[in-house]
Amino acid sequence: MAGLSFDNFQRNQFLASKSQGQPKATSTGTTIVGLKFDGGVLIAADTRSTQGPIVADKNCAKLHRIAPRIWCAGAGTAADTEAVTQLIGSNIELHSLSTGRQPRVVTTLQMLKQHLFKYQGHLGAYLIVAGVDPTGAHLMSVQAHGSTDVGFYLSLGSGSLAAMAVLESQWREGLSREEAIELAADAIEAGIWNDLGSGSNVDVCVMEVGKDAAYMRNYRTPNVREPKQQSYKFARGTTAVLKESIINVCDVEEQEVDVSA
Amino acid sequence: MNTIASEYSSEKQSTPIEHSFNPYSDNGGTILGIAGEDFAVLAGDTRHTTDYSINSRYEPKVFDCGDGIVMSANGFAADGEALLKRFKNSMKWYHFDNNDKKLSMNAAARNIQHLLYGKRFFPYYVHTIIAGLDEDGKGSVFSFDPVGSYEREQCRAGGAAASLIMPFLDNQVNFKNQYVPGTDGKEKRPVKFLTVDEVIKLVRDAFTSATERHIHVGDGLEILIVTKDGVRKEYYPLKRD
Amino acid sequence: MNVVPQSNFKSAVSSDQDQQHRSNAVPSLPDTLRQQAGGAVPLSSQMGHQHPLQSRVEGWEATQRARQLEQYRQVFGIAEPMKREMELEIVERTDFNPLRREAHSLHEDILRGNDTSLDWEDVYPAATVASGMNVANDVHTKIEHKLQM
Repeated sequence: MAGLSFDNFQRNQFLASKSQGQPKATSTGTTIVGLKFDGGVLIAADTRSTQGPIVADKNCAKLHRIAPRIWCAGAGTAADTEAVTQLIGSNIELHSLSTGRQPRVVTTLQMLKQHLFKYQGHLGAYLIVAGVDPTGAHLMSVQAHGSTDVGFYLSLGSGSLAAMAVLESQWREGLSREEAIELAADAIEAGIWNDLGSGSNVDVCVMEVGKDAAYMRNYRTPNVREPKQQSYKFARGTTAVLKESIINVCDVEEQEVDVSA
Repeated sequence: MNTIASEYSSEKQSTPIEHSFNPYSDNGGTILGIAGEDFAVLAGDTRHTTDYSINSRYEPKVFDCGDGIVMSANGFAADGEALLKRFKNSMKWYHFDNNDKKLSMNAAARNIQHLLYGKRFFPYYVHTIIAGLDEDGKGSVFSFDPVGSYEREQCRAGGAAASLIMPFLDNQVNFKNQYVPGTDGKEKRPVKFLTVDEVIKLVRDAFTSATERHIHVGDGLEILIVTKDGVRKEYYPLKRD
Repeated sequence: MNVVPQSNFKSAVSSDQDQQHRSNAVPSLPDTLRQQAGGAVPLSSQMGHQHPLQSRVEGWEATQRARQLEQYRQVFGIAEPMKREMELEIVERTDFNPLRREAHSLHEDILRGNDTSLDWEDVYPAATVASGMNVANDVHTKIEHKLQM
């Protein structure tokens, strides 16, 4: 049977019953937001990814490109958000090639929700989809089970409450591009400081009607590490050489050449 | 007519109603004690958490108990506080009963063992470390498991990021896996006592590093330093994300 | 609502059931006698046989197809689904390609209306996901079978 393989389900269940349980997937216990402004839409995300209480990646990218002008911010299981956006990205391109039209945000959303519904929430992808197309700027979100929302400002992930607090108090209709970027970055920072699942930097992607998307990786870096108190360089030879063997992969011949001539 | 099974319908039928109250929680944080030749330090971060939330960015958890003994019980904060209170109380009675005799580190450690083991079947959910000077004036650190097993050690990390810090300490305090250059691993790098300044540098680097990689560590670092002149406190801010 | 395969899936799966078969005296040790692992009771009977999603995903395409044909029948009459099934049958018979394995051919995709979309079936063909179960499914076997060698 082709497709996602269920081959090892029984074996894994047996292993899980005998030991501590199954390996945990990396999750992006995240803060992501999206908001609309005058003439476009933007999304933003923090850059921490965690495995339980341990920070797995201090500067990961949670903004994914589905089409050149349709981007998507992902929360949930890192592998699922990545895989689902790549698959739908391919489908959007094929669809656009086949119809000869610019890809649309509603198409993307419909494909995402149908795909996620098929897998009944087992693909842990929670996405904020945003983009511009011939019908204007759009902002929507999809949950892992396939339900969708449309809104002027949205937040998702473990830091969504902190971010939404900022959006609820400061978002208004008719924000300028610059105001919107600052508001989104402030909302993400609320997540970075107040939610332990979020941290490090702020990524932003701005999509304006009639323009190319502007992806601003590490738009804010409020968490640069202070220099260490001392150097931990070891004196050469501190690590013992227990065994040394040299393998001659090829024959080396030396030949003297007179370069002055 | 088919109906699609909803999560709710299956739950209603299959899950028995359970009345279980979980008396424990984990409030994160990390502590670290190092003994020097004539001093001892005990450091802890000041973040207090439950799950993904920060309850406080400054909630000290290392305390001066008097008699040059500093103590911290890291893990479930309520239990840590209860244990600390009980120890301080027990110390008061010791002074009262013994004409204000100074409580030695050895006696304090044994006392804490009994406080912990006395709740063997409903333990204090904490990793406890005390630091101070022993009867010869040498730095000493004692660490306890939740039910009272204890040991005197040169250095010990406890709490959330203990597993991140401990290997660093093994290498930098006890010079584990370090050999004298040029001896081809025949001669281990000799251990020596570190100075207070060196130890504080190590502690600060240990905590900034743990803050980078552990979500329950951060906000602030408070170090209590015990010397023959008394107990001194230092505070350094840590990253708040 | 039979657009999607009806199934007996649970939307929440627990991977750590079956922990009650432990000795009380030594909690961390498995009690072999009580558990009878590998003994009189076969292990397979003690476990769930399928991932709750498996039947749903595997039956997905067939169910969708059946529903589609049913709708064609209702709108255009029985001739329409028959014609489509015949066309598919013809393509499947004539389009022998030992390399294609489980994947669909372009002609088949066009007839099914799948020619401008991708799914995991296209990304992960059977040969790459099987755990050594279908070694007899390679090119050589297919050709030998076709030529009755």
